[in-house]
Amino acid sequence: MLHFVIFDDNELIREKVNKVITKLMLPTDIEYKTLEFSKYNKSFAQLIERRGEKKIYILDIEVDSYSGLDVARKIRERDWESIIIVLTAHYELAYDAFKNRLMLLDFISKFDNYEQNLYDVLKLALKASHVKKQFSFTSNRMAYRVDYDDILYIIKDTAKRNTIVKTFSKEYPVSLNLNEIMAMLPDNFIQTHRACTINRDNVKTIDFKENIITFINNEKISMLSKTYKKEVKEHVFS
Amino acid sequence: MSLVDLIGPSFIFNIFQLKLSSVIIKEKIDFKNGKNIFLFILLIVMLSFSTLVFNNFLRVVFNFLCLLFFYYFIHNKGINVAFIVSFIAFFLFFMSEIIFSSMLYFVSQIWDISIDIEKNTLLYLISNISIGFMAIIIYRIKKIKQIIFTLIKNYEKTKFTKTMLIILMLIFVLVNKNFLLFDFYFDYLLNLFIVALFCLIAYLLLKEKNANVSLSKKYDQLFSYLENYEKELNKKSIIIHEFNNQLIAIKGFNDKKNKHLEQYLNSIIKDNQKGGEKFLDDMENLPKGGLKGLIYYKLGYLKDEGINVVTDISSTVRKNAFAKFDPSLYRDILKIVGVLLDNAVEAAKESKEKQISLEIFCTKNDFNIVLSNTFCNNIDLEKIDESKYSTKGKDRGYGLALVKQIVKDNPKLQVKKEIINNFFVSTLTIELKNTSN
Repeated sequence: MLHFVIFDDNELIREKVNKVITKLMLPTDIEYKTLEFSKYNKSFAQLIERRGEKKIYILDIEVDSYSGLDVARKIRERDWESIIIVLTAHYELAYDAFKNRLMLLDFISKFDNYEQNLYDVLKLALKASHVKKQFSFTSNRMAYRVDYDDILYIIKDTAKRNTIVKTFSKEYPVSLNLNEIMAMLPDNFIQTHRACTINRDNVKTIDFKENIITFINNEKISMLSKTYKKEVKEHVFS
Repeated sequence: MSLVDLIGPSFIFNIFQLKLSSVIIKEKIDFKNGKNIFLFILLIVMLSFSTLVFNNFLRVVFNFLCLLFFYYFIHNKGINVAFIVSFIAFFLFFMSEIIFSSMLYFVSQIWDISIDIEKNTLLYLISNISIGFMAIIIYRIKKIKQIIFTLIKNYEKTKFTKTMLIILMLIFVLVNKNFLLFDFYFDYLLNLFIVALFCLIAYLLLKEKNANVSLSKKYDQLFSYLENYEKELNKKSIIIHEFNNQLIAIKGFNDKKNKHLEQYLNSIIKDNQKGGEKFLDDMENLPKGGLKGLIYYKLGYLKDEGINVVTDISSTVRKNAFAKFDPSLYRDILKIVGVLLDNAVEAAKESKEKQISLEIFCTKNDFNIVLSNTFCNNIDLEKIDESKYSTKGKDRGYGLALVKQIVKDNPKLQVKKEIINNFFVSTLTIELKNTSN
């Protein structure tokens, strides 16, 4: 059973969120339950501790005694599977840091087309509730967490004898070998070269004649070898 | 050996040693004082005596101890200063002697002449004078002066520096044979090589250690102002609150009669709520004693520089969280937070997104400070902990090495660094239980 957990000290908001959930869930045949909390108490703490249940939390950031972010931190002490959405009166760009660190699905402003936005995000949450979202690994005492969706490709850097994880905005040198990394990747990653694996969801085009792969940010790499060409053709545009 | 042969070199050696020590300490020696004259004569006698009685090895040890004793009484600045000054003066003479003897050797080789200093008293005296001048000239080289200055400044506070100097001294004693009277053979070159190698190693080790100590001192100086700064911040916060209350009262008196006034008052009240006051309000629950001041000092004005800062100070944080802490532990915590904040600010400034977030919260047993910042792509994450690693240029990058050292010395502190998507995340975890020791 899927649990929606609403945490807000304003009864009106809780009601509204409840309505959005009902609107979203009625057409589906998913069994679900909605739980409401106006403050962080013992029963809320026990709910967080409960294992083996799929949960989607909708937390208000501005609660006097124990804020939504406090609850999110409490959840993330042990649980990295549940989905967390945060409601806030004013969204600031720097909240992205919290979003990343606490793996929050999204922040929703209470004043900006709030019910529709919540509906859209909950729809996404429903989809994402059974998909592992982040690539986590440790290399040379440094822990990394990178969204799978953000990765374009991973290549072996033979000169530096390490592997490079290339995302939309950054590249991370990692001292794990490509095979070790590939063992951790989901199905949407396919090998295109002895020294390269790509995220097929982020591929724009592939020029099989010139062996050039173009990603959706227009970055190009020529890491397509004969050995993997057939497999790539089958999987990327299937 | 005549009396001149015996006393002459010691006399010259002492004159230059004294000159050098007074230059290093920046204090003139008063020779009108009877005690100083007596000490000076005593030193000449002692050094002359050592030439007569001891072999090379014992003579160096004896001379060093004599100088130490002499500086201790003549400068009256304590044994630590006497030791460091003796060491520096000895070291500079030692280096000058090596340079001078090398020069003599090359002169003798080029013009094919035999120079026997031991048998020529005048030449021996001239050599000592030259070495003395050379030692003073070496001291005046800007870089060397700077190294010596840092060494003196940090010497008393680090066991490491003391240990290094004592080891160096022992090496000098072991390899030292009067270079002037020593033939230029394989032993000489080997000694020269050993001395040069150990000097280099000691220099590199001390440089690194001193950089850590300097950084630590810099933070100490900052912290001594923070408590007052915090008091000023609290006053500021009260004044702003009071100002807002007055504005709200005026708004009430107006009772929407004057629309322009109403709008104007609303805009001022709103501005005050989202500006510095909000930042101060957020930090209301932080423990006293510097943390609040430090955070405000480092992050409070970054908005003006285009950096987006967001803070989340949890209600789980208690003002008295650090009440049972030892003051030195609290200082160490502040040092770590200072370094992490400085690094976050510098990295965020260089990044495209320019974002910093600070979370402070307590769990059952721990106090947590989490700092996330965007960063530019040019950092080598695997080297970030190493001393001297920095993206900010030469002679930087001691911050995280200092953090590493503090954490190593204190098991109640833990620092974790992570990369989470586009953010560099540093977490300082402070164990709250049993922190009174």
